[in-house]
Amino acid sequence: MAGPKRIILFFCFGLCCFLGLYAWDVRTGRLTRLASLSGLEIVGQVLYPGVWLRDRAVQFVDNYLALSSVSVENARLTEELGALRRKLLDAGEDQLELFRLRGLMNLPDVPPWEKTGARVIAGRFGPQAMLTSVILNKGFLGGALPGAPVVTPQGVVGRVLHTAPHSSTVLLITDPSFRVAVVGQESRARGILFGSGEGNPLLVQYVDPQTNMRPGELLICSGLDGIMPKGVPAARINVARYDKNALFPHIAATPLADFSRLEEVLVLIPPRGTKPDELLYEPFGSVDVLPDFAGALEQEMDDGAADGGVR
Amino acid sequence: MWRGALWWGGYLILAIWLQKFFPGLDALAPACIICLQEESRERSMIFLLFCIIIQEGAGTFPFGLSIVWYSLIMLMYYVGQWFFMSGNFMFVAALSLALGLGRLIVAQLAFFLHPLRPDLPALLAACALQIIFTPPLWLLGYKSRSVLRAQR
Repeated sequence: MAGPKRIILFFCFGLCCFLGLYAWDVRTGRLTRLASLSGLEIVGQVLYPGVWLRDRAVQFVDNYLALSSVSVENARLTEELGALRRKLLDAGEDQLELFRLRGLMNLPDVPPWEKTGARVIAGRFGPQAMLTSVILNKGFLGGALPGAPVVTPQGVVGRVLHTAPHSSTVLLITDPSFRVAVVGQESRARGILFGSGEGNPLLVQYVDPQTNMRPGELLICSGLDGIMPKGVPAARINVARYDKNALFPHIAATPLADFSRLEEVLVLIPPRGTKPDELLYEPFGSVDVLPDFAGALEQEMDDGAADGGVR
Repeated sequence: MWRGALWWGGYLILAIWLQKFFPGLDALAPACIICLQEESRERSMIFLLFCIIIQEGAGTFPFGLSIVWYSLIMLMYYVGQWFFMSGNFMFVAALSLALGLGRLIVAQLAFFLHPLRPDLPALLAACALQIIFTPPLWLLGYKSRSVLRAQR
């Protein structure tokens, strides 16, 4: 009888220790931070040299061996550049008018967010990565603070979840736990954009049934959640079904960022003067991890080390 | 001594790269089984600590679930050892099947403790990967460890 009793006692003791440790960590986040600083950094340092070598090999092939398509691409890019220049010229006048009107109406200026490039070095990694995520080669020393928005030139990618000195984990917009406040670019109808798993369309919920969202309309971040800057494109509506008997319309959208070919992203750094707690995203409750990182980043930027490019 | 350290270091790097290419796979689990089979308590503890730090660091949940996961591996291994010869391939194949189901239990616990929604297809794919990859990785590790020991 002594054997089973000892096993049960050992099990109960272990369970109590684990639950105590777990509850303490959920409250303080210290062990999670320690694991990120060590484990995530090790993973980043092991993976990055291989990713760097692969990039160099691809670059070599592109630069020296695949020259046949360069002239065709050059012609296409020149044409695109001309069209964009014309567009920019038109937009320049509109922008000046906007600034004049803002000044007349005493609307406050929105300080621009800084951007820093980062490379995706791994996708969902390991058994504990149960949320849809990627690992970046940039950590809090490079500006990837917890909660910082991550975008591509096409649209929203996600938000930084955990961060180490030179690596960070990003929760993707397609994860069922992800949500962001959006507004229709034309209809100006507000809603909350939810992920619904890899390869599935995003869902827009809590949209006023009196509004008129249509397929093809662009959804942009409204900035009301205090995390994403206003105006960043997030998704394009592909289904908008208004049912008289339903409380809210059914709206499905496709993310603008191409997750199957996600290689480089931009991490957005909030304007200076923004309080860190306005940025912090807390998916697991109060995790006090930002102040130290913000200090480290501030110092790094003051030293001029934040280069703004992809490492 | 240094050969052993080199082997464990090499396996760690191989496992990290495998986990990059196979989302959700725990490529360190087969090495944990080898550790337990070699019955070196200190080495097992050190290696398990390494596994926990790496998986927790790169994971998306708060610290703690890896402890449950690796405890589950140890528990299943010792329970299995009561009934079967622990050194053969069929034992590890049965253990990997149990580990695949164990992954679902740990995931259920994770999503029970946090009000987040699981991506079920991705989770099931990770369980399937665990079942498929554990036996060959264990075999690779076990054979190479045998060669290493024979050279000593």
